[in-house]
Amino acid sequence: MKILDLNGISYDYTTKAGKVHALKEATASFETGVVYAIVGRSGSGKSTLMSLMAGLDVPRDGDVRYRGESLLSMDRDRYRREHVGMIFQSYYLLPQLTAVENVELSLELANYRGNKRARAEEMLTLVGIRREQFRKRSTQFSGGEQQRIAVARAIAADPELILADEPTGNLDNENSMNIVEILTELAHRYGKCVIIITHAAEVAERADRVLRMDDGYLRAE
Amino acid sequence: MLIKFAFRNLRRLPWRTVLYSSAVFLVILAMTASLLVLCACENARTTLEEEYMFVASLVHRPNTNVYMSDVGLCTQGNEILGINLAMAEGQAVIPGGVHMTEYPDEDNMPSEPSALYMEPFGCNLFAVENLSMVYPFFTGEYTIREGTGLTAEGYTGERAELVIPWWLADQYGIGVGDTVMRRYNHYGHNNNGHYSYRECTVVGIYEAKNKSASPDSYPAYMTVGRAERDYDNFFIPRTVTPIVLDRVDFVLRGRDSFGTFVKTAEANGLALDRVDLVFNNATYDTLLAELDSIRTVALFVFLTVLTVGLGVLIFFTVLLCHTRERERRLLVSLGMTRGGVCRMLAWELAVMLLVAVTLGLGVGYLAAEGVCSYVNGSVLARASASQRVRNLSSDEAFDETMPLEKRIELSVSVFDTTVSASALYFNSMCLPDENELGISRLTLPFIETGENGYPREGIENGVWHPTTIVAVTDPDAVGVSVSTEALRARADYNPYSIYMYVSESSPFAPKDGDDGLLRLYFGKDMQGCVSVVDDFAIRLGGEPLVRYGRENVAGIVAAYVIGTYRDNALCSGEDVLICMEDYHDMFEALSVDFGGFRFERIGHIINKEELQ
Repeated sequence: MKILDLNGISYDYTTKAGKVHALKEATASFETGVVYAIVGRSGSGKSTLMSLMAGLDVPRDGDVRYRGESLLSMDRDRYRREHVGMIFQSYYLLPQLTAVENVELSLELANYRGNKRARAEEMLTLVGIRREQFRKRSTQFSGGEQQRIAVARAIAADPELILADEPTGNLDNENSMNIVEILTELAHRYGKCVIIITHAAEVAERADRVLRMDDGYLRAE
Repeated sequence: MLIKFAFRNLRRLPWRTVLYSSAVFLVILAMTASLLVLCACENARTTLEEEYMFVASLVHRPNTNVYMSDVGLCTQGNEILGINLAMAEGQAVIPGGVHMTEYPDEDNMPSEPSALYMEPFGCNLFAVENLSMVYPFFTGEYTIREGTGLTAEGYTGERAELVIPWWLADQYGIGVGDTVMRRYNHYGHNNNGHYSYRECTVVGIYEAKNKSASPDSYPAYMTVGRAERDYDNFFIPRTVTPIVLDRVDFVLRGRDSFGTFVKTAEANGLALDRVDLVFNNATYDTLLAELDSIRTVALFVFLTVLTVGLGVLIFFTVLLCHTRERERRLLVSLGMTRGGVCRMLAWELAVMLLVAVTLGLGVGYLAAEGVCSYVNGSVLARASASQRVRNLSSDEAFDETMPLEKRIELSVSVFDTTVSASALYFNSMCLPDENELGISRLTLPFIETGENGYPREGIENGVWHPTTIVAVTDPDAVGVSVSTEALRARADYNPYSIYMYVSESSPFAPKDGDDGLLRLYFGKDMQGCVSVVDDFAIRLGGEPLVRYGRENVAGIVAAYVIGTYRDNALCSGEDVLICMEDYHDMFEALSVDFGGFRFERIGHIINKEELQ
């Protein structure tokens, strides 16, 4: 089932060197239960595309639609809180919080009505964090563990769309594969739409579909 | 939720919280302390100006004198808060030898004045308004060895109160409470040997710290009030008697009053080529200079902290926000609004600022008090009693400073700055203008008299009735049946007698056909102690009353009913109206010394129009 549509979106930004056309009429559709990999060289516009899909920015031309509704007409903060889970290369865990509190944070922002602590612990268990580690500060975890906590945080509020920006960029091969495995399972088992932006070929190989960003153009492979 | 996040962040990031709060705390502390010290200095300047005892002194130039009449020229038309004067009683001494404690043979006085001149000299006599204001006593050069010093309360003992030097006491074995004679040469009669002898009670004996080779240069002291009486009661502003004064201090309202004070005195006829008006309030200048220095430092600190400290705070705040950029981006990506993130950070800042500013203000206040305390104990203490001022020992250093200033201290505090001086009593000057009326009141008992004016049951057994004596500077303004001018024109007028007015409804009101004046007798209490020596009796009643012996000299006063007044706002019913000079006579003669009652030349002043 289609969940996200990109309809000819273009995006420009200006640097000292001049105007950069980061995206040029990109068009694509994304469905639930599928893992997508968007690959491309550095500076090809991958991260810009992710910002637009997350509603952190708006395209110059074109339209991003979530379940047929344009993000321009939506409360994009609410869209992110309730429908999108984001994972970053640098994990972005809050150092002052414990593992479970980091996960709880997204639940609090999403106004989760259930038991937040139990849900956070469930998600941490799901990504392979041991119970005795729940109350450790996030800085006390390894990179792989931190990313798994970030994944738990992204999926805690049960979003349909998971956007992962270079989720394995700072991880070794083993941890990378673990993360990709978790993301794949989220798509295949839990019916999430997982979009992974990566330049790692082995990650792209595990995706169901691969899109390539090349000089601002998005093409299916 | 935002507040919860904010407090959690403050708790979980203790170093950041503590460091930022400390920076704010230190800045606020420094600003508060310096600002409060600055305000305290400003306040101290104002207090100093308002409460400082600005004293102008009337002093003589070389080979000239200051006279009592000069005092009147300085006081008339000038606003003066108080006055202190000291005069060498050139015509009064304490005789030596046997005459120190015994009257000379009265029978020989008129006919053998030469014998009186042979009396050995005892010591000079000075009259002072307040002994504690006499420089050697003020500076501590003289100390009271035994008894008390003369104070304003000693203004009107029936027996003049006397403080004598140690050497006189030692030489003649005199102690506190003993009676000694004061030889007084009546003004205008010094060529025919018209002396009178007045008993004085020794109330104190003083000793000098550094005794000079000629001890008889140390005088005895009595009160100006008493001396003034004995110089025929010339009230200061009106006197033309050439009484030589040692010095006169005038307490002015403020520093700026001095110019007006001098101009007015000069316009009144004060000869500034003969006398000089000195205004050396050096301690004030020193204190002011020190305050200015402290204020400058405080201002510098305040401005420095204001610029540097605020710059540092702004830097820290920006840095704080910048270091939270990743957190901000994460929270936004998780769906928190940008405004929500800002509000959360604002809450964190607000809590830190609230705590830091509260603590900074509190500790800053304490620090300011500490600075003030240090300044009081060091800088201002030194300024208040600088070594130079301390070393000024007497009126020889008069031109340099006012010795009165030696004990003036400024105590700076954030909210309570005080200027303290020694508890000195200045007789307040209360001088009515032409359109004003000076009033004093006193309740005294009088004894019931028969139709002949003499006590009905005798003085000892008579019945005493309390009545209010209302004294006014101008009885004519009250509306009396016999004007002052008419009274003085009477053939039987006696300037030493006391005349009074009673209410028209009084049983003592003169009746048509009365050929003599009714006499009432007043006492200071109802004990009826009535011994009066000849001299006083003559002055007060025109003839001796009763005489039981010299050792018992408490008195009564006979006063003549000269006329009536119409009941008015000032006096009515049984009140007795007398003129102010007679009031002073009566007061002095009765030796009124009620507990807590302080004699005032004039109690208060009203506008004459108020009587209309």
